[in-house]
Amino acid sequence: MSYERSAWKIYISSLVGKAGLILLILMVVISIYVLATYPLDYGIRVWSNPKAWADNPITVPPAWADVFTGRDLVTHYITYTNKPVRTVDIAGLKFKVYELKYTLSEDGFPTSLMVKFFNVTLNTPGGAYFIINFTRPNGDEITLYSFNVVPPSGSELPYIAFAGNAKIIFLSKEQSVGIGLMGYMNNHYHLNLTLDEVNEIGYNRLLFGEPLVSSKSVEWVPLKGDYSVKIYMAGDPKDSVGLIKAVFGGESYGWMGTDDNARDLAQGLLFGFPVALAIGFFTSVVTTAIGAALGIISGYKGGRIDEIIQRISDIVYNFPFLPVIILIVFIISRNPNFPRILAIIGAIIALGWPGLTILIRSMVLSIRESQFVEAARAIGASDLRIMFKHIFPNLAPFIFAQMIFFTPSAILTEAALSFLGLGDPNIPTWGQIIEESFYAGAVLNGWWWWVLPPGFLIMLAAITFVFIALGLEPIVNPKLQER
Amino acid sequence: MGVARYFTVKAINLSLVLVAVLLLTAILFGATGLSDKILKAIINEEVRAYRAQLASQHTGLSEEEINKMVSNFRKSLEVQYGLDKPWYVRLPEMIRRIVTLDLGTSKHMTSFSGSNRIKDIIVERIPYTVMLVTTAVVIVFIIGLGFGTWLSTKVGSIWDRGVSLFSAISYATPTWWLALLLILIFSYYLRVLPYGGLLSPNPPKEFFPRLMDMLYHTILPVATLVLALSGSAIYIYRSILVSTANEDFVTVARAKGLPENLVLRRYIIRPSLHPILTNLVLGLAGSLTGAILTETVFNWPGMGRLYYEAILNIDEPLILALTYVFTLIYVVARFILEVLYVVVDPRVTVE
Amino acid sequence: MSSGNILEVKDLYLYYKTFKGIVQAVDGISFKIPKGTAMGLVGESGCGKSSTANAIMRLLPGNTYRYEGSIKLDGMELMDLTDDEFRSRIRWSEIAMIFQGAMNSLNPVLKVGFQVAEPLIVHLGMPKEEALERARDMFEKVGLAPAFLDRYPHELSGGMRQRVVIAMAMVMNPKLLILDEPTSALDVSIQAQIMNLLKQLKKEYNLSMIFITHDIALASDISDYLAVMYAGQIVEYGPIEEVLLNPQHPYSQKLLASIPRLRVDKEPEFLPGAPPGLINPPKGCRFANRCPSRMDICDKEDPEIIWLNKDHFVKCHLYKGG
Repeated sequence: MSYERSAWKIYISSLVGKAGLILLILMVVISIYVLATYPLDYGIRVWSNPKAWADNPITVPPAWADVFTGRDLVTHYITYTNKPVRTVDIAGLKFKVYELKYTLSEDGFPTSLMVKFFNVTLNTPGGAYFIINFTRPNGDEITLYSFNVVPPSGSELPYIAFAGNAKIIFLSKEQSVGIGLMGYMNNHYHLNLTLDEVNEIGYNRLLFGEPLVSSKSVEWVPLKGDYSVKIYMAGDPKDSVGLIKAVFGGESYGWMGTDDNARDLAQGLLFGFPVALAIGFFTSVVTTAIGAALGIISGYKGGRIDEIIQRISDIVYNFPFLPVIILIVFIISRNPNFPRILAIIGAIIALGWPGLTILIRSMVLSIRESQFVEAARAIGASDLRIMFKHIFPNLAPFIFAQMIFFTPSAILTEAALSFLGLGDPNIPTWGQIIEESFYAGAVLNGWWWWVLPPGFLIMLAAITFVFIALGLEPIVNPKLQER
Repeated sequence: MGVARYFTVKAINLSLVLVAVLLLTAILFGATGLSDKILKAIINEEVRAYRAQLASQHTGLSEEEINKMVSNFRKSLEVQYGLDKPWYVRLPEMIRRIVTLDLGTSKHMTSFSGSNRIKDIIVERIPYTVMLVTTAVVIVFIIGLGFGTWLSTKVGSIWDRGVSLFSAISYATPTWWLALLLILIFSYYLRVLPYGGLLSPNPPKEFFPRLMDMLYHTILPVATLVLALSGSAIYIYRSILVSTANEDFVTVARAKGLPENLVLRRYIIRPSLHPILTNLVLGLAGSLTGAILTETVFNWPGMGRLYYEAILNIDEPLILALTYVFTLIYVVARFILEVLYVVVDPRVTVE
Repeated sequence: MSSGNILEVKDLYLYYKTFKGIVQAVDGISFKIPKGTAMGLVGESGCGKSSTANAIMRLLPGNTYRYEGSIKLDGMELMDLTDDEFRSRIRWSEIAMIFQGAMNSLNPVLKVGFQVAEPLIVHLGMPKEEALERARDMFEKVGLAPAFLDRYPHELSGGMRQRVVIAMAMVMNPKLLILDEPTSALDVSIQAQIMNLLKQLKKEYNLSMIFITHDIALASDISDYLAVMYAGQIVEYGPIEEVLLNPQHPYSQKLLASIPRLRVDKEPEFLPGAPPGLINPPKGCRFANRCPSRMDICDKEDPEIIWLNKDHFVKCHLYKGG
């Protein structure tokens, strides 16, 4: 059996080798998927772009987290309309009525209520007037908010307002909404709430809940049923709204939840796959190439070159790893034009190569005296030829295994640097996600879905290569084959 | 004398590391213009304050006179901060001072007792780092060597496979993330341990309860480090001992009829001291520098955290000083290791 | 009551269990060693010579599958002893062993003098000073200057280390010395010196030996008896002159014919093929597939041990009934 075939057989017979390979294939498949479906400047264009996340709830767990809470979590719900359902006459004014319906079927409160207006066409200089009402399941209609839209003086008619930037109203945060709710609740349920109390309870609980009065206190429980947001628009009959969107913030969102910028963590985590693989792979390939090349040259040539390389590698090898890497990356990062990801990779390579050089050099020293090298020299082969056609193939399996083994270090170091805030802001990585979660207080608030999955993925990526390296060990180090 | 020469050579080699690190730091700061930028910013601040002070106090001075005084002040500051010399003159001078442990003053940070001097700041924080890191490393060593020894007698068994798997997993786990996980579990959900920091918000004043409070706060950080590092330690010591146990002289020892625990002590562990010590000392030195991450997560007032804060504040003298101290610790550890080698392993010759 | 034999081995088995199967390393061997004589144990690599030594010293690996038989040392049945009894009463004090490769037989971090003295300290409770005195005497016997007591193994040459190992083995005056390839790693000239030393010690202490080697010429230098081993079995055993000059087993004949001779014009013959593996050995005689005198019965039945005279046996169907 050829060497490659028997090596493969040995590798595939080990459990960890198999596991590592499966994990690697999985990661590569996911990475290919991500590279195919995500834009390359995803970091700048989407991840750091607030607009992309505007409709998501903030810091909510994934949709499947209801396994832990024991009850169904309120689903995130978005609805649109652009056609009025009817027209009504109120105090002599004709109002177009737009309706956005919603049903609350879970035992929880929606986390927010937001209404967005796109492309309001105004045909008169007077503009249009909007009233936003809120209908509860018992039929009561509450006025929450009202506003005017007027074309800027001197603009051509018809004028389209909110063309580029939609008008966004956070009904769950607007002061006037609080006042309206306070009035309604006190009236309907015979309470004596003050505005401060209303603010403390939170508008979302008031909008979607009812009070449960006990002897000691008032508790708010979710009010299940059909709700609707009614938007009344008064203005020129030709005035219209391009689109009205209502977002009923869920208690959960998506596969992996959201962070404090309402970003869909599933996307960020997915994007991390190709990034981690690329960083790990590229860094370790270059580090191994440099380390091995220098080791072979140093060991074979001897003399002055050997001295120099040995000295340098000894010194760099003795640098305290983390502080020096942090220093290098930090200082380079002061230059905003230099892509930070390159600084990180460069720093890891700069400190990583000596380990292999020292190892390889000692191995070359023993091979150098062997007979086939002598023979090659006797034939008159050049040094370069001997080094790369005779010495290198002998060490190739070992070097390859070292390369695989270095990859998890590269991945972990990059993650650590990102955690310290030295990561590349344009490229979301798992380490960065954890960094943001830490500084947003995710641990103090128990936002486990923001903290744990990215770290778990880092672990998984590192373990993949550790397993593969373990699977390769018996091939590279034949002494261990006798089991 | 052979011994003196041997160790002098080693010491020189290690000192080169120190010098190289300092040079590297200096070049990074200097050649990128960062050093000049920082000093200019500092000088600008002081000049601005000076100008404001002049304007408010000596209202009798003319615009021209004020400008003259300010520019003189600026010039004097430039000399004081060394900005009148190029960085490749200024920084080596600073290095020379640092090497002699004249560490200077920090620009931004003060010690807990209010001093500006870097030496005070560092000296204050070292014990906290040691408390955390050294405790953890010692525990890991005991667990590692203990279990490693036991495991070396069970090569190929289920235990062996299990530990090897556990070791691989703990190697791949970022310590700082493990810390976050444990904080979530023990501080957030179970509420039995504190989130971080050295002391509780209103710490007790008397010595003993205060000490207890501090120890209470070390539980989680130390446990994190131990959990993260034990796996690899057990496996490394096991491998070292197994490799020695496979040597012929161990079989000879048994053939000599020596009892098994004597064989273990004298023929397996003793010849393995060289790699065991290497692991221990380098582990200690490595943990000290790696403490940067753990201390950040646990908000622990040690040297690691200090380094991180220094970088955030671009506190140049503090960064230089700390880089030096870290490297110094590492280099001293390596040197001690070389001494130990000569003591422990007769194969290491001094000629 | 002891006969004139220092060692009587009967039907000794040692099998190991490996992933690939059960290795029948020592497969029912028997031999005897009269007091003060050396028995050479020869055979190709992997035929079970070292395993035999391990079996006698009870140095069993963790995966031992079968270990039984009779080993009588000066009349005392060793198999009756517990492991601990064996360790404290027999090992080194009665039977000592010299392993292949002196380089690695010594603990690199202990002084060689101490290593030689160690068995006295551990087994006899001798105080260190006295034990070192004895070690010094032993050093003298093997031709090492007392100054070497304080040296470490890496400071000595190969030949010196081998002498240390011999001194170490002799320090408790064992009745039986097992030597496994004691000179294979040495230069020819040193080899000669060591062999002379061994012969001298044998005479001086009336030492009995098992001399394991693949080099028959070497074995014949010191041995009084010769045992030829093949695939885990002893196929021929007898006084050295008889076996050397008149080998009876086809394998012994081939083995001896393969030795190049200096003054004879004949070319050395060699034996094609390889010995069977020790896992799942063939049913009949193990040498059958290479035997020039092979008969039908050889493939079916494992031959019995047939005594040709009171000292010489052979394990071969050719001699049945005669």
